Amino acid sequence: MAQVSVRPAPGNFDIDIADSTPALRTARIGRALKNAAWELWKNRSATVGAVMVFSLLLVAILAPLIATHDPVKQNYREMLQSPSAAHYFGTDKFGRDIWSRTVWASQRMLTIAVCAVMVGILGGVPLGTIWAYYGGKLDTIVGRVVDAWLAFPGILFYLLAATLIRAYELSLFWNTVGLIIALGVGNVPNLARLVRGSVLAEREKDYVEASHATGESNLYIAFRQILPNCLSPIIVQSTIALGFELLTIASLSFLGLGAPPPTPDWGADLNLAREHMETRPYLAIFPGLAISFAVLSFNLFGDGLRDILDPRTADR
Amino acid sequence: MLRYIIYRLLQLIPVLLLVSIVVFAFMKMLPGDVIDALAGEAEAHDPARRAALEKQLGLDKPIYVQYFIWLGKIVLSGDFGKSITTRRSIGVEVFKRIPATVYLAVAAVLISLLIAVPLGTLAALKRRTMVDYTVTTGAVVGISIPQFWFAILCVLFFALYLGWLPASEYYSPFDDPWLGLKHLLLPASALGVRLAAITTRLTRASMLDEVRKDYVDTARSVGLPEWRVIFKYTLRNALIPTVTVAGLQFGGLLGGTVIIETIFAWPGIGLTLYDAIVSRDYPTVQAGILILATVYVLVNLIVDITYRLLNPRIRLA
Repeated sequence: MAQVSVRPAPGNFDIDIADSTPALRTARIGRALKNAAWELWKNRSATVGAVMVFSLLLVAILAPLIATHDPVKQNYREMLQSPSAAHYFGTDKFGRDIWSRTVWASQRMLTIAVCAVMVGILGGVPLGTIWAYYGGKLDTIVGRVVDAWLAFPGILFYLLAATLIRAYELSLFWNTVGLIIALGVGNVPNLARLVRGSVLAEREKDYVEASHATGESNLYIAFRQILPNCLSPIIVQSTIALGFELLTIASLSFLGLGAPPPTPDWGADLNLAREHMETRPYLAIFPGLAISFAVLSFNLFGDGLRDILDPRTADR
Repeated sequence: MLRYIIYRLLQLIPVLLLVSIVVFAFMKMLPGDVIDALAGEAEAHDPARRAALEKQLGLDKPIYVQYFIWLGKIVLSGDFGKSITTRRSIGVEVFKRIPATVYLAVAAVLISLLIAVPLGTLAALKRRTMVDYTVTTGAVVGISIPQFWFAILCVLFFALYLGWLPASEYYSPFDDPWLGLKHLLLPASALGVRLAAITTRLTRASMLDEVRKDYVDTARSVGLPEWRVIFKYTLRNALIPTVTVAGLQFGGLLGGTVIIETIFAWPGIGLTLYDAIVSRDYPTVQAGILILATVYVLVNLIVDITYRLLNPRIRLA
């Protein structure tokens, strides 16, 4: 005798669970992936963005292999050299190879950006869901807090946090952790607002009422039923936020507030390059190019994703 | 409408309080003992002298009392304390530098509007042509380029390579308008490029929406010349949300002033803030952030209210 009410769980999304086999499920996943790839390919911005993001990730992961020199070791015999076969991007005033520094910096910058966005998601999504789903007095209180939080200009908060972190003179690891937390906290209200909008819209739909009627707990409905339908804007916003986090990190390092000195960092390298702008302009070009490439890749990919996932806002 | 304005004005208070609390908390969380910093060796270790110094600085009171004293001094008498590096009153110094930053920010906004509105409109009207693709790609690139890198590139190209524009120093427009303008151009452009890119995308999107509306067809069918339809009606309507969102981007501009003023040695609040951060002059850092944050909140409020006044649908609701 077939069961009438089955709690949805991984593995039994099919209507008739008796027919679902691992082979069928794999085939379904394969088809979904192929569909996704086709959608990505159709949208030009997404394709270019995806390729750029992929190459960026590749560079970051393969950094130890593609870097030609030690990024931190100073070598005064080879300082301030122009780009050449030995030093693809030239050397800076300490004799460090800029290509190696740029490549190693990509690891650090991407890690911080990804972690910061994840912190934002981990904080913002539950907050937004609970805020929107439960409503009532909670809605007003949380609304006020988030509004006030949002009203604080982001970059000034990061400046404060970074100055504080620097003042404590922590080790590189804790310095980075502090930065990630500060950046993540800055991301939370935006994401919470976004999730709240989606959840509010979904809350009125029939399946929510149906779930309620069958006796599911509020928490279950909010997180297992409504939230999966709100994923698109979260994904898009997170991708674009990755780009902006990179910009923020670079700006903070440019001002000297990021990692302490010998750590390879695009912003810090640009700051060093300022002294030699008249004599060696190439010092300023490459780190900036790296930042622009990285941010551009996430922006293009995010834009493309937005067009794919929400065709109503699509332009073409 | 009036109710909304009052509501927003009331909402200002908790926001500004939050800002002041965050800034105060920052100061209190800094490592290092103020007593140790100020007092000499002997005094620091002598408990009686220590207690006396604490009393003098007001550090013996509970923390919320300290907060209110600090806040009271700022709000009631504009006393931000003394700078650690220059030993002069912070309030006077900082307020002297506000005009330069305002000048820069306003110029940046003007430049960005001058670039963005024509380009965005053009892209919207010539949709899906090479012009459109160029403008949209340019806009995405403009958003992705770090402002400080763009500033450095501008300096490299226009100041060092071509020698057309100067790369530093500030001349007040009241003293010498032409010189002031020349020195303003590079920093304001560097500050405005991001805003220009965002505004271009917005203008384009708004125009695309507007042009599809019924009243445009009506105007055309009545026989109005095309340029009149576009400029007198469509553009004006499209500009309202565009300028609003652009105004709300002002916060990004504030962050940019710190970096741009550092690069161009522009004597505004941003440079003061940066110098204070570097020289660990924390009272000045506090004051700078407090002032900038307050300006940001106020500008947001003004933009929001202006938008609601300009948009008849909301004003008359």
